[in-house]
Formats: sequence, C-alpha cells, structure tokens
Amino acid sequence: MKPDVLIIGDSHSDALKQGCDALGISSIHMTFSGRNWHEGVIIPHRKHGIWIKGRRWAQNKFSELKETLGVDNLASSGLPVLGSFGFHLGRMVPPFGWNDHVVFAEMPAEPGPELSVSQGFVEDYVAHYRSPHFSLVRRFARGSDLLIVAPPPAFDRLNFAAFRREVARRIVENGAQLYDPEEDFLDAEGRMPADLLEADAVHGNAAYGRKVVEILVDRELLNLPDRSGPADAGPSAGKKKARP
Amino acid sequence: MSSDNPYSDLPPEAFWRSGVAETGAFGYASLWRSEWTLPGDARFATYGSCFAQHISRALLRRGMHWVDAEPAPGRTPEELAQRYNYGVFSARTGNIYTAAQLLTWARLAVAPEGAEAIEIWEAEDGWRDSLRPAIEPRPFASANEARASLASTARAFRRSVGRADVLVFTLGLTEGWEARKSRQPYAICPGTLAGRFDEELHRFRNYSYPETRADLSEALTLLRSVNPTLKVLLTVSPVPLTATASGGHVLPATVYSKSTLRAVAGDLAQAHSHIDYFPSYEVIAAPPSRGMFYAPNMRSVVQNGVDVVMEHFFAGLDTTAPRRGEDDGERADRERRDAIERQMDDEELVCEEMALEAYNEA
Repeated sequence: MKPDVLIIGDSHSDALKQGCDALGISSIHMTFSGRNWHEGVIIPHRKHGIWIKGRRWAQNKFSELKETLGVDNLASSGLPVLGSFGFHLGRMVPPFGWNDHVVFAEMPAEPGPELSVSQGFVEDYVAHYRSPHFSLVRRFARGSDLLIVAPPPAFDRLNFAAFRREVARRIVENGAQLYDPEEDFLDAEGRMPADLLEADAVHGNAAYGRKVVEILVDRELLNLPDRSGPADAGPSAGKKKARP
Repeated sequence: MSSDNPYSDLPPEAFWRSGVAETGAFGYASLWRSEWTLPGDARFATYGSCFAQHISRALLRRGMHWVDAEPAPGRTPEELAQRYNYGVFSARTGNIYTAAQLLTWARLAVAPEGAEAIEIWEAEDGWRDSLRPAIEPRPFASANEARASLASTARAFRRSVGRADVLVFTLGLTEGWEARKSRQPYAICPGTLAGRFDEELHRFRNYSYPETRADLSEALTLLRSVNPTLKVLLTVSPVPLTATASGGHVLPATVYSKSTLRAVAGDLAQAHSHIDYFPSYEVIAAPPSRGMFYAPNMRSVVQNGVDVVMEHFFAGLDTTAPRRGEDDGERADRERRDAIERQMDDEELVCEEMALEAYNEA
C-alpha cells in the first residue's frame, strides 16, 4: 500500500515524520541536512522532479523511494507532500551578518558598527541562494499538493526573521501552501516552549511534530487519502480525512 | 654660456626632451616619487570620481591593503555585490565628484547624525538618497530605509578614514548641483536619474578655484580630526565631462574643470607635507599620450591607460617601513566570523546526524 504522505526536507522534517508516526499516518521520508540543501546537492530535475548530485548512498535511497512509490517523477507521485525545504536559514543567515550587516527592519535605534541592508538586497540575496529551491517548490506544487512547514521559531537571532519572511513569501509565490508554526506555537513572551524543542534548542521534538501534524490535519491543510473505501483509490480520489 | 645655472644639475626627467620626447608615453622615468615611507602593509582608503575605482582594484590585485569599511554581506556573490556598489570605494559613497561633495561626506564622518538632513528623493517606486541616487539598482522601500543606509555609509566612511594610512582621493569635476537653501550638493542634477528638477530649489554651480580649494581644505581638515596621522594622496580624473551646464562648449568646460582641480591639488600638496599629488591626469590626458589611452569616444579610459597609471603609482610608492599586522578592528572582525563559522558547524553536525539517523533502519 502506498504511504499517505511523502515528507521531503532538511533536519526539521524529522519532527514531521515523528508527528505522522504518532498519529498513524504512514509516510515515506527523504531528508538531507541543511548544508546539502543549501549547497545545491539536491536540485530540481525535469524528469525525476528532484535530483541528488554526487551522494551515492542518497541516490540509492532516492531510487528505492521512487521504486516503492512506483513513480519516475517524485514531483508528481500522487501523494501529498509535506516539505521542510527552502529555508535552511542556519546556512544562509549567519554569513550574511559576518560584517555586521543587519536588515533595515531589525536595525537598532542607535546603531554602532551595524550596516543597514535594504529589503531589495535581501530579496536578491535570497533569490541567489534559493532559486533552485523555489524552482523545486514550483515543480512539486504543480504535480502534487505541496505543503511547506516553516522551521520552528526556536530562537530570535539577528536577521533570521527577515530572511524567514522572504523565503516564506517566495514559497507561496511559487505555488505551495505554507504553514508557519509561528502562528500557533509562540508563548506570551514570543518564545517557543522549551518542552517542544530538542536539546539543541533549534529543532522541534516529537511532541512538536505531533502538534504540527494535528494542526495540519485539523485545518485540512494536509490532504490525506481516504482509506475508508473498499480499495486504495489514491490520494486525490478520496475525501479529505483527518486521522486518527 | 655658463654651465653653472639652476638647470645644469637637474636630472633627465626635468627636461622635456629627455623626460618625455625621447622616452615616449610608456617610458617616463621617476614620474612620481612619494615622500612618505609607508609600512609594507599600509592601508589605503579610496574615494572620488569614477576613475578612483581603478585604484582600489589595482591595490587589491597587487595584494595591498585596501580598506573596505562597508563590505558586502558575507558570501554575497560578486555579481550581486557589484550591482549594489559594494567593493567599489572604501565605503558605499558612490562617486564623489566635487570637493563640495567630499566636504559633505567629511562633515557626516565627524557628525553622522547630519545624515538626517540629507535630502531623500521620492522616486516612482520608492526612495533614493540625493548623495547616492544610484547606489542600489532599485529604490529603497521607504525614506527611512534610504536614510538608514546613508547613515550606515557615513559611519563606514568615518571608519575607513580612521583605519587608513593614506586616503587616495580622485577629484573629478568642478560642475555640480546644489540645493539653493541648504547648499547641500547633489551627486547628480535632480531630475536626471532620480529626483525632480525645480529651478526654485536647485541651482547649478561651477565651483571656482577658491571655492574648490576652501572646500577641499576644510574636508581634509575634518578627516584629519578623525585620523590625525592620515596622509592624503590627491589625483585628478582624466575622464572629461559628459556634459556641461555652464552654457559653453563641453571641451573648454572640461579643460577649465580639470585645470582648476589640478591647480588646487598641486597647491595643497605644495602647502602640506601630509598631502601629495599623483599625476594620473597627466599620464592619460597630456599631449605625449596623443589620446591613445582613451576609448574611441575620447572620454572613457582604456585598461591599458589604467595599467600605465598604476605602474607609475606603485613604482613611486615607498612601502619599506616594517609591517604592523592586523589591527584591533580587523582582529575583532576575524574572531567574530570564526565564532559564527564554528556555531554553524556545530549546528550542521546536529543536522547531519539527524538526517542520517532518518535512514537508520536498524
């Protein structure tokens, strides 16, 4: 039987996978580190939807995955896709600030060494590093129900919010649905509850993943196939159904 | 005829025949010799008209220490940095054509809060600052964003002056435009690339020798108040005017402009030991070059000409004093970058492990 959902992304997709497991949603999971996503190892591909450059073990996994799903193009597998790709802010934002650059919206009232950077520059900088990811978003959004989940807003570091907003904007612009946990998870002080984070205080844990997936199902953002019929009619044939 | 006169002991370069006619434009010897003995890692800050851009590039190519006080954000691709005018001058001032403009920047260096008074022009789809209207390919999203960027550059300009051993400033024009009321000079005539021209608000200026000298002197005095050991190397851009608003022909207008600037630069260099003049203008524009260093439009300087200029520049520099190594600011910058890299590596290790664990079927 086909899984209910295909999960593709970086290390943040782990929590989503655990959330699906906890809720009995069968999933198939393809994950790579943020560095691999950032450095262009995973790229859009005309025939296969996605391609992995130069990582034999990953290519093998990718081939197995396509075989399991019985498709040649992962971008149009017929399954809803839960993604955590496109952001990878930990690879993009810190170097941006190496020379004391701060996006205008986050400039201190009385700047010292900080150098203000325009929104226009941020847009072009993001476009340079994320064009392949946005192309991937476009490809998957055309071929399937693609829902990208933004990373948990686990910390408040300089420039991250502006980059996060820009990536989110471009993801939506390229046709994907976006769920930003910022809307539901921040406490009164604007912080992510520690009990929903891994020990590294960056990644969401299993409890977080479960809550996210519950929200996605409740709000019918994640279109699960209806398994209640007599046969596996495929994800688009059934009524959207929240499980369990 | 007596052989005992002031010319009898002069070196060959003091005579036109042996110094120019016989050597040709590629063979000038001892065209310029710096009086300063600089450390091997002397720091140069560069500003001025568009010709000044060649100096920063040449310094970098030679592996010399060019002060970049407003570099592009880390890991900005070269093409993007260029589009946003990073890495052109020691701070993102854009071209500074006139002594009046330099004085404005010098005042901002001493009192960065003065950036609040600089005009911000509303453009069709955003805002541009009147000192650097073309600094970004698109207008700023708001007047406040434009002002914050300008203020950042003003602070960076000050830092560059503070860090530099030598400020290389290339004078470009005597003609410019300013606000009638505040007398703030503009980088361009309002209404050409940005802004809107209003005769009631804006006026043309062709700064005279006394005005240019006064503005340049005041600017350099202010910059020396930031860095009392700063040396200043003045040059004059050999690039002619694109257009003149003086009412006359552009050719005599160009010669007036360049002559005035050349005279001011030479006189200030004569008057102060911390100021020197480097003859880039002469190498390119003087008659022995027969215009060969200009492109067919007789305005743009070809690379060959730039190379000849820079050969004389480096040949005349004396950088035999001991190197000083990294200064406190550079050390702090490097340590901060290293710390960010380490943090990224630590976080990446966690991500790699999580990603690999996802494939663990054991």
